[in-house]
Amino acid sequence: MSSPEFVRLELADDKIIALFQAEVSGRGGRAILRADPLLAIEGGAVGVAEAADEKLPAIVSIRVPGSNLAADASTLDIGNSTGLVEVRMTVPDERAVSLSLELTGEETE
Amino acid sequence: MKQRLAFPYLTPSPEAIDAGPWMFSLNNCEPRPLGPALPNWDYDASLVISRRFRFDHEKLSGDVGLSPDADILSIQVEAGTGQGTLARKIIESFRQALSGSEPLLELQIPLLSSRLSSRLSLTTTLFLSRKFDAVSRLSPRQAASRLWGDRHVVALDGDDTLFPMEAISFDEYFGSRIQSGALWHLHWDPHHLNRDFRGAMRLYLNADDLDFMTRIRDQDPVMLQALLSDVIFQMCSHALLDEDAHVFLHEPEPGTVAHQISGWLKTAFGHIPAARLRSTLEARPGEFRTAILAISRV
Repeated sequence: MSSPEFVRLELADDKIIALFQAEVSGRGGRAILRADPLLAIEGGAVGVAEAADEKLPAIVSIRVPGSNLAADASTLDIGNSTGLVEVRMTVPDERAVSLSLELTGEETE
Repeated sequence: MKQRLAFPYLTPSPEAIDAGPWMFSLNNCEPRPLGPALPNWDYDASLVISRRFRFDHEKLSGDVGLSPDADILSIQVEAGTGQGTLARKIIESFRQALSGSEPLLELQIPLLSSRLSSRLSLTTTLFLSRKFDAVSRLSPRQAASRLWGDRHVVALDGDDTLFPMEAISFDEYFGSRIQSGALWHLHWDPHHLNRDFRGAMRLYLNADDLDFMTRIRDQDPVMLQALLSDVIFQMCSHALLDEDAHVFLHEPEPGTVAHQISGWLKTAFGHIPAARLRSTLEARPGEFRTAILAISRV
């Protein structure tokens, strides 16, 4: 799977949403796509669990364009799908964010 | 270049800012492009760095939702120095306001070589110089909001070690395990190729083997070639076989593990994409290994 790439900002209910895309190729039989929001700091990024701050990013949705696969959650069972995935996450004011994507779960045929 | 960070406001598209390469002039010579190393530099050298920019102010303002004549953008260059990816000390901070009517900007910054050590890190940042009452919710508003930036890291000639190395007793480190009979051990984390090279790896030498240690101290060229090629092969082959790592090799951050691996691969094979090199490694491992051995000659 490729590293998530930031595509653009969007506005939804006055909330700032960041759209990221990644390409799923060799899945190794793993079917569950898990998205973790990251807060960007100088020289790196930290997971929100490590950031003692109320202004935290959160995953809004994951979807596979051109399919019915979508979830308003931070995990999605993508089955045998490969190709583009889109992840939307909230961006707190005055914070830069990034995204970690991982394929996990039981092996499938 | 892939953008992995999302800022909480709109940022300019690449077409809005044409940033030229950093140039350097050493001892009043003609300016030359500043690469990953600064040859012939010493602590007494007179050093001037320069860079040209061309701004498409209309495009830039449109991209981020500012008015072109607002004149609220400034550019800053911070020159830092010291070992590691992040500069240990900022020795120069240069700031200049941009004029919306002037597309060209040339920066010339003299640096005191006597204040430099190990590496020179040049961080360029375009930012809002004051608070802005933007119409769009997505536009930058706060003073010091960063709109664009990049960083260039330069190794200063003759002031960098090749590898972080340490001699230890393998009998103590590995105990009764079979590894205690090895001559060296490369400790590194292959899952974080964007980490600082010197902080992410360490080469342990077996201090229990006195003959080996003598050869290392005497800089035996055959021994060093064998050692170096093994380290390079381990790191390059892992990075090529891990498809997720290819993205880091494409445009690696200077000073990172990926940057070092990418440099070795370019030296051995030229500008061949990682996917093709992986095929070479899998189909003709002997040829791949021999190329690594060849570039490891010291």
